[in-house]
Amino acid sequence: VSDETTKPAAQPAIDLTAALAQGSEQLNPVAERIFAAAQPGAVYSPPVQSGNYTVITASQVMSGGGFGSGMGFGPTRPGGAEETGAAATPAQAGGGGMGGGGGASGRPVAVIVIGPEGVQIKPIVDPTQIALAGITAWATMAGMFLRMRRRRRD
Amino acid sequence: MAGMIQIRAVAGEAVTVGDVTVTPCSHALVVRLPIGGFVWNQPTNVLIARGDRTERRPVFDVTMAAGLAALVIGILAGLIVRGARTRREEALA
Repeated sequence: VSDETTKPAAQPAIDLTAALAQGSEQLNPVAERIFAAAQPGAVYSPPVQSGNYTVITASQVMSGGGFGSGMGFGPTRPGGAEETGAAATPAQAGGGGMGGGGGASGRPVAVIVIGPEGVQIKPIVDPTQIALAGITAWATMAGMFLRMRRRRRD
Repeated sequence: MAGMIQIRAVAGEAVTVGDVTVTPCSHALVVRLPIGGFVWNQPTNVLIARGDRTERRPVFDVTMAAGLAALVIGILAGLIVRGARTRREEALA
């Protein structure tokens, strides 16, 4: 009886590994999509023509992602092996899972204008981002000074 | 480690308008890890070819430069004020 209990229980370990390997293979195209941001086509837009002018937009592109998987095995229930009498090969069950996440962002940096006047590279200024960077930097400094002042008073 | 972190100089598809050929170039930082990865691609310059003459013009990221400048000025201002306070306290003591 104990042999019958242990034999089918060993099967899920193999299936689980195969399932995780299959899952990893399915994630490969996702990883390739992340690394596709390294191509120049991701940074420079296709040229747009309007009258005598051709415009190309240059953008800064960032993308990243990560994924992981895990699995574990254990006895079907605490003390299960002793109950069945199969101390050497206890009945096992397993579980596993995988997940991942990622994101991408792009910001226009400049516009390349090809026209009758020649080639012009016009920078794109994002005042919101500059203001946010400035406010964050100065707020951090202000917070640091306040903390220093408090410490000296104490 | 070198295979995991790469800095690539990549040239895009050249665009020809009349007698001007524009080739956009960028620098890509690629970090490949067994559990994922990261890519930062930044336009760097544009190659402008007209006849026999080739010119390289930089693509300047004003927003990033201004953000970095704000950060550096903030840090410098903090260090200067801290130094001035320390000196004043030492003089008073």
